[in-house]
Amino acid sequence: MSVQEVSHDPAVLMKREMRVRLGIVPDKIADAFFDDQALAISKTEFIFVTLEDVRFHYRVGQGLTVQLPEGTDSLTETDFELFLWGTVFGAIAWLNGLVPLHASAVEVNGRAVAFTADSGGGKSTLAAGLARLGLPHVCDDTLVLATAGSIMAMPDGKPLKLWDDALLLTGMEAERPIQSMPGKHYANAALKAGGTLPLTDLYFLERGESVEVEQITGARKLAMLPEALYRNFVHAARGDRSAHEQFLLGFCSQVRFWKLRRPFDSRTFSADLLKVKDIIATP
Amino acid sequence: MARLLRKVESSNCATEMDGELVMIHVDTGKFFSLKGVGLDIWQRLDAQSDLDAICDELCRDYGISADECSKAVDTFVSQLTAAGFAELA
Repeated sequence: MSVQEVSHDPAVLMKREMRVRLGIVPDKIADAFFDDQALAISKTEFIFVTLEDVRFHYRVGQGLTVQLPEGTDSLTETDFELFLWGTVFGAIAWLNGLVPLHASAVEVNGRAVAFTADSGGGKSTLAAGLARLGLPHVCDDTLVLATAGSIMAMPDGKPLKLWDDALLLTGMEAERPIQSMPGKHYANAALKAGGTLPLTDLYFLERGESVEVEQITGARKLAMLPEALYRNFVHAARGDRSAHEQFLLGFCSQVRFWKLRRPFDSRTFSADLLKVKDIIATP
Repeated sequence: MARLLRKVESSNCATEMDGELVMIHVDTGKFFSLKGVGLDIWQRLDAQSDLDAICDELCRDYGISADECSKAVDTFVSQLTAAGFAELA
């Protein structure tokens, strides 16, 4: 199987494929290439079960079916939304020939600049802070890319997920608490990017004594890229190594990679943010 | 007897990246980066496969001794063939 070409607007595609209806979710799917207690996925569909037993079933072209746990009447009483915009969003992107990065992103002069890090690595806080400085917000936590030809980043409608301290640092207002994650809230950036944007730069965030940037070039990029791919095993396990390798090479040849070190210090956050804004504004 | 080295074209996909030629082996997924003299040798293999002739050219172009050149080329060829990107005829 080759990577499915996406001929239509990826934003339209994802919006259509993310549509949700309540119903009965099957216990299993055929031809799964990965199957554990939480996720079973084939080349065309998956079943995903959350920690609170919300069950998702997705099939390409047919959208999502969601089954609530017994005794639950409302989606908002569960961790439905948390996983809808995480694992489910990422898996739907993969199965439709799009590539999700574990990254938050902002728009800088008509291009997308992304920040990747492990959970807790500060990518949401950094992107939210930069949005407060006037850079349109592209996405939080997962960045969906269309990769047929150029590497294009897709702004999406996901809310931001920020801890209380990140809300304070960035000046963002909490919209509502996230069920099952006390201390974390959904928020929305006032300024959002519009259409798809070329992704030009990917920053790997690290903790440091001061704000520093180091460019990564050549084969080192190839070694680092897999850690930025969201649920990388999905793409790797679909059985087309050649297509995956073509994607890796194409991505690395088109996107600049950097290590960005910065202190995790609330006292210097505002000043550090301005330095980061200057760094990423470099064409 | 001439030592001939041929690229295994079907073994890899490759692209230029920041001045390096980065190749991924399609069967193993291992990647290999060529730059400097290694990249120069790889490009010369498009014109000819005779390693001794390539060594002569390198000695002339880089101003190095035949012995020094031969050792460097042997090391490079060993790495390239071990990774499956080329084979000795």
